[in-house]
Amino acid sequence: MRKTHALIQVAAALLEDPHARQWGYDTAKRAGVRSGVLYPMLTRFLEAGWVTDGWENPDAINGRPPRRYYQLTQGGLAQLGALLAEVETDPRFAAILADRRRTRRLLNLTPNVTPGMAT
Amino acid sequence: MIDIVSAIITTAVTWKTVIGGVVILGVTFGLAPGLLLNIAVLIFPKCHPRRAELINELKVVPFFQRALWVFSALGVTVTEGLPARVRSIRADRAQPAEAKLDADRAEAAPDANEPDEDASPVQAHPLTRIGKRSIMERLTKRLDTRWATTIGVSIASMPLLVVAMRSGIDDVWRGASSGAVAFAGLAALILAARRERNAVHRARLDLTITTDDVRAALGPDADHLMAQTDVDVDELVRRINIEIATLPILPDPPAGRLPTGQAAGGEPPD
Repeated sequence: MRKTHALIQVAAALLEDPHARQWGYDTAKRAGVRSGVLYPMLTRFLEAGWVTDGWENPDAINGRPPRRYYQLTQGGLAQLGALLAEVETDPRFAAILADRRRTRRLLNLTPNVTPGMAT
Repeated sequence: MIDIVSAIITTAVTWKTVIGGVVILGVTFGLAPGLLLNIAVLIFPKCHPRRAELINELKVVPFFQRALWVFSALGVTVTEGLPARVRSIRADRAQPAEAKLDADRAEAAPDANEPDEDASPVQAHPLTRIGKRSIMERLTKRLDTRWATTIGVSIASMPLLVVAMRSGIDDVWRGASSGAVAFAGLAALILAARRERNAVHRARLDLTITTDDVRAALGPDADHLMAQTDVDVDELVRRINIEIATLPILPDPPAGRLPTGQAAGGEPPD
């Protein structure tokens, strides 16, 4: 998969909470990418086996149609973690990760994305 | 300056503009995104999960971000939906053809459990029968369509005929001429349909393969292919016709030509 800014942003967003269910709109918002970019990328992740998908239980939600969620697999966690570790030293992408860390600090979020996470 | 602004506000803000603004706001961020998205996702095949996903996801998008989100999602419908739709159409087209071919093969292949009365000593090639049948089916379908059209036109011309007949009562000459024209037209249509129908029956009865059939099966490169493989077309046609023919009657050999000790219907020698 070609390394792009969008890929790094989505990978970082997914790895913020790697074991949680990820939702399309929330992920797009956290990653800072448009839905037109996110969904094709999620399709590629699905095809590569990096994420699994599913639908919300309709009984657990009231008055709202069930949403589709995505969850990182062990393979996806390793691949995306390695990817982030790799680009950490790449000057083209370092700024994105630095921005994300700064934003999280400002918002008082726990930093989950660390270089070499999957290793 | 303040007077000007207050004057503009006083002029612009009326009940009508407020109601209009609310309506425009509601349509732009409420109704239109949902409607647009519901239409746009139709590009995805019916069972594609993205179709429901995008619609359901819209429910959690904040009101004022919906329009932007939908416009962005339109990109998904184009980049993902269009290829998916094309793949679906291709699969739909390929599936019936394959199913039909399998059905034809199953039909053409003799059932192992049932004795085949038409079994030929030379095993008929299933594809030969399939090709022949598909030609027949296409011809029949085409002529059936023409037949239906002819009947439709005939039925449609009935009121014209009635009118022509009635006008003939008022005006003998005009009525007779228009009635005759209508009758002639109807008769011509029925005769044409009958001719076509007969042609179908003739085609159905004629089960032999001709050189034209072979050329049609091989396509535009028929001559080139045959020249390359050095195939004698007449010989090929003869062989195919033998293969698709029903069991030939094998005459009993004359009694005098039987081997010694073997009578007709007797036990074969060990």
